[in-house]
Amino acid sequence: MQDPPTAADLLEAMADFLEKEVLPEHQGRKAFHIRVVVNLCRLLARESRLETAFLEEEAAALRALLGQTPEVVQPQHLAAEARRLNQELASRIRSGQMDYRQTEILGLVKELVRRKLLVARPDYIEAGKESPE
Amino acid sequence: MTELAERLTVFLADKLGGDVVIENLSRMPGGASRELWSFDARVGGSGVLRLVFRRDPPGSIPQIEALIDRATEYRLLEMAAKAGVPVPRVYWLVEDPTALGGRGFIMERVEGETIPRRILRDAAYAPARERLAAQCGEILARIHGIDPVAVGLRPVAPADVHPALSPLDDYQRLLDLFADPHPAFEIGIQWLRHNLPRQWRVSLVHGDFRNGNLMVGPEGIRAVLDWELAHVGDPMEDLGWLCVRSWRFGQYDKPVGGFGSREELYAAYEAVSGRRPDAEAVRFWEVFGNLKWGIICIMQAYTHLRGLVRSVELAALGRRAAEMEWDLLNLVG
Repeated sequence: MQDPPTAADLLEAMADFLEKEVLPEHQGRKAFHIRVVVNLCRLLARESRLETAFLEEEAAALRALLGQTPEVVQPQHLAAEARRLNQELASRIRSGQMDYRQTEILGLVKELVRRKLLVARPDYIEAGKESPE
Repeated sequence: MTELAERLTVFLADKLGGDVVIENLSRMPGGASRELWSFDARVGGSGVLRLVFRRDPPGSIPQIEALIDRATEYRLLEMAAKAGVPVPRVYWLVEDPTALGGRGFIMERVEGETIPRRILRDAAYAPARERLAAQCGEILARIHGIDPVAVGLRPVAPADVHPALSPLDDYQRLLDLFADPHPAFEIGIQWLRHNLPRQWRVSLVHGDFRNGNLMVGPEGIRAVLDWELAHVGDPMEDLGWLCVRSWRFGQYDKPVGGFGSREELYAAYEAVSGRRPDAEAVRFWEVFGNLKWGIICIMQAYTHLRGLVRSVELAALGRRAAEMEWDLLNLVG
């Protein structure tokens, strides 16, 4: 085990330092790049907190959609398993074996993208709902 | 004085027939695919010319879509100006690579703002914002009226094949190259293949007309920039790309670059061209634009990961592909 702070704690501390103490001293391209790093630190903090549970749920949902039997997967194999299942789904959509217009497929794919955004940029999801267009 | 400044002095003295002093030579920030050198030319007793030298870099940078060469771009800017499109005035085409260290052309330096968030937020541009969506419509209508043959551009697709098919195949191949699964983009690809517009025009297309490539002043658009991706295709591609959500920079309720409404864009386009844009075709190209920009983001991340260009900015783009997946699914679902 690792001692506290957690990875998420440290990443948030890094983001706060860069934003409050480094960013104000820069402008232009440098400021832009610092903001990119601040956002990445916060992204990684969210990933650290959310991703294990997300992977478990993603693998289960994809297995159900693809008609594969439920399975217990070791935590260290979860990422590879999720990747394999996504590849199978992508391949079936590409080949036409699954119809891209089916609500279950659109629904699950959209939910999985929503979860990517919960890690990568949570405010983008809400912004979408406000747009009338 | 740098070598380039010396060469520019010689070049301009010859063109202008008098004493020329080059001042304030500096490289402008821009993409790796082109070099932009800003400078002032103090000419005898006639005052100062504010200029930009746009130069091909040594070697070539791999691109997905073909870039037009400098001579074609020069002709295109001349014709765009004649068509009433706001563009920097072009002065001299430089075909001899030895004269100025590379082929390119020299054009007027237009001052203005290109950074989208500033255009959308600064009080100075409030008057411009009122007009920008309509101005985009007018300008695109004029661009689409330019004769591509006169510029030296030819259609890539046969007349009975929709111009989206070939680039769609290219982007699909690019996606396969990176081998990461993207079910959302697979849905997008299927949707595009099954929803190709049945009727279309073929015209000159700017290819990257968006908030970010427009130079703006308080009175409105001063110059349309970045013509390298110009090609012959479906003009609705330009309208679709302009409305991609990423290019609204947070102003998501204003689909046209974060400036204004589709109605303003379409009405102005129709007023100049005589043709109302087909909303379904624009939607098709907006879906296409999200697929394209999403795949480009993945490519940029791999450009970093493979060590071609180490950059945290490029790496970060890999995590932005999800935004385009989201926007695409909301458009087709």
